[in-house]
Amino acid sequence: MTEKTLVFLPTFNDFTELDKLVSNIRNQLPNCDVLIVDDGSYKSFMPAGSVFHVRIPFNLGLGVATHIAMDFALFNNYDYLIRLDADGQHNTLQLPDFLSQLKQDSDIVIGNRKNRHNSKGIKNILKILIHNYFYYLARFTTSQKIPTDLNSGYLGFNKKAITALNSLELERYPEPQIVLFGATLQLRLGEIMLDQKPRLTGSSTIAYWQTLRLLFRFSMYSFILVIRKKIL
Amino acid sequence: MSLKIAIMFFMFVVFILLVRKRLLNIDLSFPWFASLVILALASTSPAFIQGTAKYLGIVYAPLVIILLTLFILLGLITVLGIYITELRRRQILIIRKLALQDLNSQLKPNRPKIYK
Repeated sequence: MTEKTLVFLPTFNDFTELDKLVSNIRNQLPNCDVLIVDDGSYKSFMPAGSVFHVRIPFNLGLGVATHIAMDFALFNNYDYLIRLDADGQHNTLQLPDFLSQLKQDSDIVIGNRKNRHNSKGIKNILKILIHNYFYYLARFTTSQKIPTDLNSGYLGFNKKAITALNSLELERYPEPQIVLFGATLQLRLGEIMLDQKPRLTGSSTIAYWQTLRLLFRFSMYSFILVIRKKIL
Repeated sequence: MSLKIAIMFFMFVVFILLVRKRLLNIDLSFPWFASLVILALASTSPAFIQGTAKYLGIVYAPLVIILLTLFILLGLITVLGIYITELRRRQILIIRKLALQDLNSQLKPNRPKIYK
């Protein structure tokens, strides 16, 4: 039986390069289906081409968009789900690598951005500190080897991972949570080293104060997991 | 004493009006109601205030009302936080269901291949 792959693009005001991105995805994975989840963009749009498209009327975050993709994948028996960002930062040439790793030995594949700390300035220093904090906290919580890039939006899941993660409540920025829960649920985590391209469209939705909230949330999840392990 | 009773009566009237005009959901009105009753009893009963102050080791007894008010406010915030969390969870479930229905309707064989 042919295995089905769904490529999922969450978007928030990132629709100008979508058609080109979808075309690049189809070049790499001709038999895949593409799902675009519009997370409450200010202007509604209709993507050209044969894609699945759904618009959430207001912004609810990447967690809800990911749940929608997972609900669709499970309902329609997709074997693999790959997520990449709609702003053009993720190289579609590596989609076959994600798929082959999912088929071989990983339940979740994370695209580890080698060049994520290459920019300069205080913002970059803060990013390095925050990423290191996430990584070491996740290591401490799960007591196992995990990928170093917990914030990458370039992710691949097999059916087992989709089923396991969809039963949880994913947060607005769910990437660190996905890795943390994946490790806790004993899912096999793999990583692919890649270079992140410059953003073609839109801007980061994570402002400074949202970073604080992200730090707080992730710390709370980790703390609760540690308590559960010790007490239960 | 009559001023205290007048103030309490005024607060109860406001509360009843809010519920009657459906500005305050009746499910959420109970914490408010309980808070008003507790504050009414506390502020009209000097013996209660003195007794509580002695029990808690508070030197200046009227501070008990402030402490009580703070606890009540914290409790109200907690109740509202729980309610909002549950509302958000239900909102997300509804959105997910609707999105899945929308997407599954796009699976039908005669759906248009190109969207413009």
